[in-house]
Amino acid sequence: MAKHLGQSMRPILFRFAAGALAISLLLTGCLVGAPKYTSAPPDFEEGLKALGQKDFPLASYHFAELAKEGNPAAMNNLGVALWMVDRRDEALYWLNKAARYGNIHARDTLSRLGEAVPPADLVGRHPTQLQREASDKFVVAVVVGVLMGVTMYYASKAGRPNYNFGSNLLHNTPRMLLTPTTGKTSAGSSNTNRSTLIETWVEGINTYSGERYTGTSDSFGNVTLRPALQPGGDTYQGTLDSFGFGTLRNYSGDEIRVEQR
Amino acid sequence: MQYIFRFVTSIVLITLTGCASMGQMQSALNEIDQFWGSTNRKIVADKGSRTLPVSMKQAKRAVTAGVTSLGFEQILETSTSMVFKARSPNPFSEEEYEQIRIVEEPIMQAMASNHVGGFTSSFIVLSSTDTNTILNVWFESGTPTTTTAHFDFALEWINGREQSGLLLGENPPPEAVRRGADKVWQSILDNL
Repeated sequence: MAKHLGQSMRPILFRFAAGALAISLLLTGCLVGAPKYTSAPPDFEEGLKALGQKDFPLASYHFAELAKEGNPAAMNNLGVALWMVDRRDEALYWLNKAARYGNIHARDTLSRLGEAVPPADLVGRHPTQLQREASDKFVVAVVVGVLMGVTMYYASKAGRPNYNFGSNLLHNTPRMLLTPTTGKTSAGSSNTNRSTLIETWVEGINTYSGERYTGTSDSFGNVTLRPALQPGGDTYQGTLDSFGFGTLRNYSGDEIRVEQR
Repeated sequence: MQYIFRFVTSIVLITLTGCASMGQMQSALNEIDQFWGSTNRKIVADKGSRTLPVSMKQAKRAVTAGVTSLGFEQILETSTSMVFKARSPNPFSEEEYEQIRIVEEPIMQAMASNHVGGFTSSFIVLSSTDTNTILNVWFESGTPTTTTAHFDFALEWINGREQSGLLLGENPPPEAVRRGADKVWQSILDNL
């Protein structure tokens, strides 16, 4: 059923993704296709040069494009360019905007023109800048998320999970760190019918008593441990959960908490 | 694979829609329209009136001839006023309108960017095909041989002002009003 649903969803997702891509291409195509005054990228110095040459269309192009990015100096210079061609109301609009975004030249110019100087209440609050900050955070979150996902994927593929939750360390029960013993993995257990069962030789140190245990752990989490130095000592048995934690008990009912490394 | 599609789709949708809300878009359009409206009123107060050395009848005849030569058609006439209408970009030619658009559009978008950011502001464009230009002309008699003519411009959206949930502006860019006023007067004077 789940597989059937997954297959039926695919064409919808295909169409959805294709539609979204088509819209984005259409919109970005419109942007690319819209003719501009010059194909040169906006540049502050080029704008100043155009302003010096009294080339209003070119200067306004550079400064307007930079003003879109929230550049207060470009807003000020756009105001100057508009003033140069006697478009005073529009010039004052941009000088006011530049002053509100914190440009001191605009504040000075407005003051010298006898205009009211607005408070610099928009410093660092241009939507383009705010969107860029949000976008940066989003990219960082995506990268971190992808890295975490990849790490968890490979950790799950590597056999036993390797989580180490701090809360377990607070448990009062004696704790044992269980470590697979390198090079001693054997396949095929004789005491079950599961032919795919894989047993791993493990050893553990009781962090409470310092006693060392050895034994086996199978791929279903069943663990059996005996004291390494006392072959006739109490055997501990139990099952670990999918995170590699569990409690083992001996015949007397004594418990030992296990955390698999 | 479907996770990849979901991821790509999410990125595309965030890119397209995550930048600005409809409210921000509307406030951008409102600010542009209100600022242009107030600026245009000053321009029209300065450039929209002239005293012509002719009677009112001759003045009306010159206005009709001058304005219709720019592509307008008369839609209303009273004893002291006339209303003309033309599909944009009239009274400009396509080339003249393009010269205005290419300079004014980035400035308009920079105004919009204060509400919606630089990326989304690029989608706000000056349309030359979806509007009619309305020219209102009214006359005042001075002496028997002088008449003062006044006019102003307005935009009319062919498919309505409200589109895609947004209320579009009804004021043309101030530079278009300046140049339009000069062009209309020149055409009227040529027909006196």
